[in-house]
Amino acid sequence: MTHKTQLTAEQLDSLAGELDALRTEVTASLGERDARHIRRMVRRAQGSAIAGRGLLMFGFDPISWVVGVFALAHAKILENMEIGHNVMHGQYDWMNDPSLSSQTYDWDIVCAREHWINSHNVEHHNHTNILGKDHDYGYGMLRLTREQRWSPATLLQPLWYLLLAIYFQWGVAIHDIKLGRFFKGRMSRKELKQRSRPFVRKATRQLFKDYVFFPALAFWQWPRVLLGNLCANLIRNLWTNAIIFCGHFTEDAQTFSRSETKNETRGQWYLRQIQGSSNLEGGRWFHVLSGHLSHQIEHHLFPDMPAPRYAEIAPRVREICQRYGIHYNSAGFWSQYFSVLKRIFVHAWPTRRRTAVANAA
Amino acid sequence: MTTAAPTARTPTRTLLVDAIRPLSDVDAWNRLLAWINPLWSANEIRARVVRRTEESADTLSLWLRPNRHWRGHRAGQHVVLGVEIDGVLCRRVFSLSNSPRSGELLRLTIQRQAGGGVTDWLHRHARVGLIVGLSAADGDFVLPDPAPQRLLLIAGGSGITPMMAMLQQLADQAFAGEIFLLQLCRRTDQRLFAGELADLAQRLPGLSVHVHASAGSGRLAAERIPELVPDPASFHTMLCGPESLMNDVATLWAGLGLAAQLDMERFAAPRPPSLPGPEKTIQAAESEHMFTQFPGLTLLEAAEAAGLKPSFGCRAGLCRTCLCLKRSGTTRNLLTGLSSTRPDEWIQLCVSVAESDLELSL
Repeated sequence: MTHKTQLTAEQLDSLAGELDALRTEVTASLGERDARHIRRMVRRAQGSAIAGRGLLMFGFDPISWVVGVFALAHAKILENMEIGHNVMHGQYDWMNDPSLSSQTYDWDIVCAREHWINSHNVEHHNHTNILGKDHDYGYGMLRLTREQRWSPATLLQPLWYLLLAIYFQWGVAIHDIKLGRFFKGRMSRKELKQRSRPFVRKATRQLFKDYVFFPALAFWQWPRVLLGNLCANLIRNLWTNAIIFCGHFTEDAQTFSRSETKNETRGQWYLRQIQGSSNLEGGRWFHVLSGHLSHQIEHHLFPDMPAPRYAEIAPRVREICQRYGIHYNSAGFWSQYFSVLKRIFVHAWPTRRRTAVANAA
Repeated sequence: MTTAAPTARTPTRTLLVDAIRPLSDVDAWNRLLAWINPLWSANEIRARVVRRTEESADTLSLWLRPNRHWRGHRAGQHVVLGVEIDGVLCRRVFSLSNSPRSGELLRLTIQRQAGGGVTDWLHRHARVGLIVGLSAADGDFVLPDPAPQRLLLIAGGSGITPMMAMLQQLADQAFAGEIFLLQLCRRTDQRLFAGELADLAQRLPGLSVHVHASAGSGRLAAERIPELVPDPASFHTMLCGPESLMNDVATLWAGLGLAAQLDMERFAAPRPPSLPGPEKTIQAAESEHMFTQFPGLTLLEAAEAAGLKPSFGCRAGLCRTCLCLKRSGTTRNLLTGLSSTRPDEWIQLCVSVAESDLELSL
């Protein structure tokens, strides 16, 4: 495990200056190329969805069913990750196109857009990997570092993780309702009802679409469509879960305490985003299917930069990190994912907190 | 290239429409339709440029054939034109410069403005075959019905465009009344539609055209207009041109007690007063941002200054792209001058200023 880099105030300022300049440079060069990319992705997702739903609805044989499932899963993955997530970050707001505006875009997943924008864009992106503040760290159910409290239930966390991976869209969807507060008695029933309203509305719509409406359109073929939609959603859940868990829970991804991040400067904020994130290496198709979350470091530095630009600036970010002696956490998917699973298993056991070491340092 | 029509999307979605998504996803259908034929759309007005004519060194006309969503216009009305420039959907308002005859092409006459932007792009890139987005025709700058027997048209520069539509319509109706057209331009070689006006004069016996070029004889002061026009009080006046000209004439006409007989078309939104006043705090509820509106800024500018990126179009209060739900607070519309305290009201950010602290659905 690598250690956190400590930089002087001057170094942090110049780090912030370099990264700000990089952002300015890219922002100034946004144009037709980026617009073409996102439009191509939208068309690809739409085409894939039509093909997938068509094959499920009108096919007869198992092969067309399997192809249909993967086509629909591909459509949902593209739509959720490369389009939905990125558009809702405002990456394409500069295009002034109402259909790609972060103010209105809604995605093909049970998570309501207003919940997502709060829990993800606002809380997770600002408080990345700060224990107790970043509710995405372990999603309130997994212990991934010694600093988190252990309880006997933690022993079962590999099982919890498996369930979360399978039902990932539901985990994401109820995340911002903050059920934990309700169970601890810090939220009234009335407030809970109010907070869950967008979720209930969105979930009803999604369930109706995938498990009532489209199966009904297929008449006697309804079991084929229903099962196909279920499997497509499952594939999407497993894939997005694996990619997202590799973003901040790999072996070398650091965590931070509330006290050490108090009154952060811009430079410290950038430094935390780099050290709390990890990249995945792969081909172009892999980056697109991960919504460019494979460039998690660049995404956390510049959440509203059109995602394909992350791949372009990655060598420069890596070079900047090298100069400042910051560990640039990047490896292949399997090695990163394996290190995440390792953490889930290791910290299921009552590992000792490192407070003593921290105090000594 | 997709060129969405520059209309604001309706915020209210019925439950049914929601329930059968994605089949009810209009954007998705539009993409499919545009893939088959770029003019096709389920709800957007799109048009193809079928002819381009140069009117002067810095002004051109585009002849457009709209798709079946075009519902016609009245002479004097304007449209919002949308084109994609380097990935950015840009919109700008233009008056239609021909009269609405069924089955005919639409004509937009476009003067190149300094500093780039849509007009500059159109001058450089508008070719036959270009697909553009259009809004429905809009605007109250139309001839009274029935047309008054004495009409005074004051047109400054490209302000002649809506007048051309009106004159064509009058010629089509064989209008027998008197029309005094005062056409102001910088230089005589920049004068628009000289040939066409001569043709119209053949069909409109009552039309007299008075041209004033400021390069030769200096800028025409508004006070001199009554000297040129005999008995202005007997005319119904239509006015379109640069902001300063319109302000001068409007003030003069008000002084003469003729305000009721004056119609005018503004393309630039009036600026909010920059008088020192208390700053207003605006809560953007959706993005959980707070920002301050300083005097002299519109809500749109204040939101942009705070790093928010609301959709916008013409920035002149015409196209309603920047429509935003005001949850609470008092806003004033700069176009109408009216204040409203109603909660849950749709406001146009580009022409609204806060008169109290606000909560916006942004």
